[in-house]
Formats: sequence, structure tokens, C-alpha cells
Amino acid sequence: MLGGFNVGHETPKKLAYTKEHEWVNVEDGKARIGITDFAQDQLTDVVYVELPTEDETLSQGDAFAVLESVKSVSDVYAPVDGTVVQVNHELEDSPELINDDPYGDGWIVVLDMHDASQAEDLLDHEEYVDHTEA
Amino acid sequence: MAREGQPERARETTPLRHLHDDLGARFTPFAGYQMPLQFEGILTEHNAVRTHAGLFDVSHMSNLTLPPGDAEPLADAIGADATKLTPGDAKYTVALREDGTILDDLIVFRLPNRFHLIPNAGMNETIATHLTEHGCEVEDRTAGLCILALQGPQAPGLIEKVLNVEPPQRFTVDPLFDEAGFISGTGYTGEDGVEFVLPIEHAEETFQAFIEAGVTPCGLGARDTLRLEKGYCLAGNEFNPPVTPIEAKLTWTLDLDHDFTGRDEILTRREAGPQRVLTGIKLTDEGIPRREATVHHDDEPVGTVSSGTMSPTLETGIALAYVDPAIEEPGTRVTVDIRGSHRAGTITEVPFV
Repeated sequence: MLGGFNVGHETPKKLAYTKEHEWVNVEDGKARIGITDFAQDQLTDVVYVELPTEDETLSQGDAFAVLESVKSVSDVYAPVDGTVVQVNHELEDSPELINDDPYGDGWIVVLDMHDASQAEDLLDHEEYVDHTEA
Repeated sequence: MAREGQPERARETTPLRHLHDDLGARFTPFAGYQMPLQFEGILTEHNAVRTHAGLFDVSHMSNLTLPPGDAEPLADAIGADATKLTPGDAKYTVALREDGTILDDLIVFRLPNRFHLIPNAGMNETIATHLTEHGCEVEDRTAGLCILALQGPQAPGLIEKVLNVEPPQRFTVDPLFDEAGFISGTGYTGEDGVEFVLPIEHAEETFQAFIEAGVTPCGLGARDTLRLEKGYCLAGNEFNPPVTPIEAKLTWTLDLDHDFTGRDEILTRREAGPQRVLTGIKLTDEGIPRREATVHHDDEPVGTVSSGTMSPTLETGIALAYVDPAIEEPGTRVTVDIRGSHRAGTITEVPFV
């Protein structure tokens, strides 16, 4: 990421995070994933997305989606192992949802987690804020 | 999420940085300068210039001046015949190396008391040396001057309203503020508009006056999408690696009936015909072509993208690319390799918009 501080960005306390600026909401063994407010702001206007397909199997660290702004291309990485069970196809026609509502309508996928214990290794709110301010 | 490419370090910034900070600009390193990438957002700024008016600080561009008596050595050094310029003229041209490739593109202004050249950002020393070698007496005024661009359909009216001066005609230049600076009918967006070259204090006042009049501040992000929709060359992209004006389709910027460095090579190469030419490509598939992507025709590689973006106006991927002249006919079907996936497009005459 280019420089910048996590000032004035929303970072909800109830979510888990990665150093690569994904957020993860784990419920009943399912992980809903998107990118953080900080990340969308750094990325600038998202104008094109490439999404995975349902049933795709991902390993932690796999690049599973591509977000393109006018100026740059960014990969989104799987924070945990899992099978893709839902894809936010709304983003194909409205990529700006990533910028406008990163924790809501701008979600990217839902994974059926293979190993629920992986969620414990993710960053919490405080660790993520520290990471973006480092 | 991770971004490709390494951030570069920048030594310099614009003298107007404090004004941009106040407006919430995000900065990006470009050619050794920290310059505003965007204020509110690239798409908003792009659309403001196409429909209303936008204001750019492009003070990273170079400023060189020459005495009016240097018309002949200047004409030897650049593609335009400087001896034919009369006070008030502005001309877009290129400076060539001995081998006929483009050293830089620039605008030369004939002011009442001097020639003024605006080469690209970071090119002041290179072009000053080139001119000095041709016998010109060059003053590098880059550090003491700012350049602003007011662009968009509302620009002419705003100039009359805010500055109480008549906007200059296209490719003409008028002194401004008792000859401390000047205003020219030039730009890089394809819209109506002007560029200002001003000492720092005048630039601060002028920038603020237009912002107060409601003009949208714009960064280099929108500047790039605006120029690409019009098919204008960006030196760091379209002239890198080196190309001739024949390949870049810029022979129209040369006065070939006067002698200048690189001219003989151009005449020889024009006779032989280019091996690659710059053309537009408009994608019909989804995706955004990026620099260095390979262009294919009938499954054979036929060229390379030099600049690409999502066109905010067309909402489709567009590119400038150097391709085999055999396939440059507008309408020819090609594909562009985007991360291993071949996306369909057509050769398209520029401007795209």
C-alpha cells in the first residue's frame, strides 16, 4: 500500500482483519469477506472487479478477487481456507459499492470455512488499527 | 489486498502544496515531484472537466526561457521553426535526438520579450543541455514558476468573470499581471481552457480565486484519464522506450521544411515506413488494459499497450498501443492480454471521446 494513516476511517470493533486489509465476519462457520474502509480509500474509486465463482475452493493466502481503480490493480487474498458459497455479483455492475459501503453492500464473498480455528489467528480491531498506523 | 508496484521517492513538491492540503488532496510521486493525485475523486474530477470546469496544478512541468534573438538556434534544436513564430504564438512540438527519436515533447511560446518553453516534468536539465548544445542562452526558471491549467466548457466564461481578461484563442498566448506571467490557449484535456504560467504569489491568488468561484480542483489522476480519452501522448509512457514522431504519429508537429536535429533521419525513416505505429484500442469485452499488456491479432502478438485506463466517459477499457502497421486499420479486431485473459477490442481512431 502507498503511505497514509488510518485517520477518519471506520474500523468496526466486531470484525476480524488481515494485514492485507481484508475484513472477516465469522458466523456459524461461514466467513463473510470484504476490504476495509482504509483500503478502499487508499485504492480510490473502484471501477472494475473480477470475482471468483461459487464452489471454488480457496486456501488461506490465495488471491481470489481483483479490484481495479482507475490507477491501480489490487488482489484480494483469502484470509482463511474455505469454499466459496456466495459471491456479491452486485459489484459487477456497481463496483463503487466497495467505496460507498465497504462493510455492508460492498462485501465480496462468503466462504464456508474448512478450519474454524483459523479465525483465531486474524487481527482484532485494535491490532488492525495499530497495523495501519505503523 | 496488495497493490502492484513500488512507491518511488520524490524530492520536490509544488509550491502550492499547502493549498492542496487544505482541500484534502492525496499526493502521488510523479517524475520526482509529490503532486496531487486526486482531491474528491478521479471520476468526479474527470466529469467536472468534461461538463463544467476543473483546475489543475501542473507546476512539476519545466519552464525554460530564451532571449528573442535565439530564434535560429532554437529552430535548430526543436521540430518547430521558431523563426516563423511571432509574439503571441504558441506551438506544440518535439525535440529529437540525432537518431530521430523523441527526446521530449514541449510547447514553445513566443512572448513579446522572450521564448518560453514548457518541456515535461523532470526534463528541464535535459532540454536545457540540448538547447545549450545548439547555441541557445537558456535560463531554467522551473523552481520559481507555477503552472495552472483551467479546463472545461465553462473555462472561458470563468476567465472573464474572475480575472476580467479576454480568454486567448487556441494556441495563442497573452501576458498577464503586467507581464509577470502569461495565459495561453493550451491544455491536455481536449476541452476549452487555458494554462497559466505565473510567479508563485500570483499562482496562489489565481488558484484560490478559481476555487472560490466554484471550480473543481483536479489531480494528476483525472489529468491522465482526460488526456487518454483524447489520445494525447504522455512522455513517460508513449515515448518510453524511445520512438520516432512517425511511430507516435506526431510528424504534424514538425516543420519539415526547416533544418533541425533529427530531421534527416525522419525523412529517411518516413520513406522506409515505420515498423510500429501508435493507435487507439477500445475494448468490447470487460476489463482494463494496462501499460505493457500484449496486443494480439489472429492469435499472433502484434503490439504492446503504452497507456491504458477505464474511460470514465465511455465506461469501457481504452488504450494507446504501438502495433504492427499491417493491422492499424480502424475496426480491426484485436485482443489485449489482461492477466492471461485475452479481452476483445477494436482498433479505434483517437480521440476516443
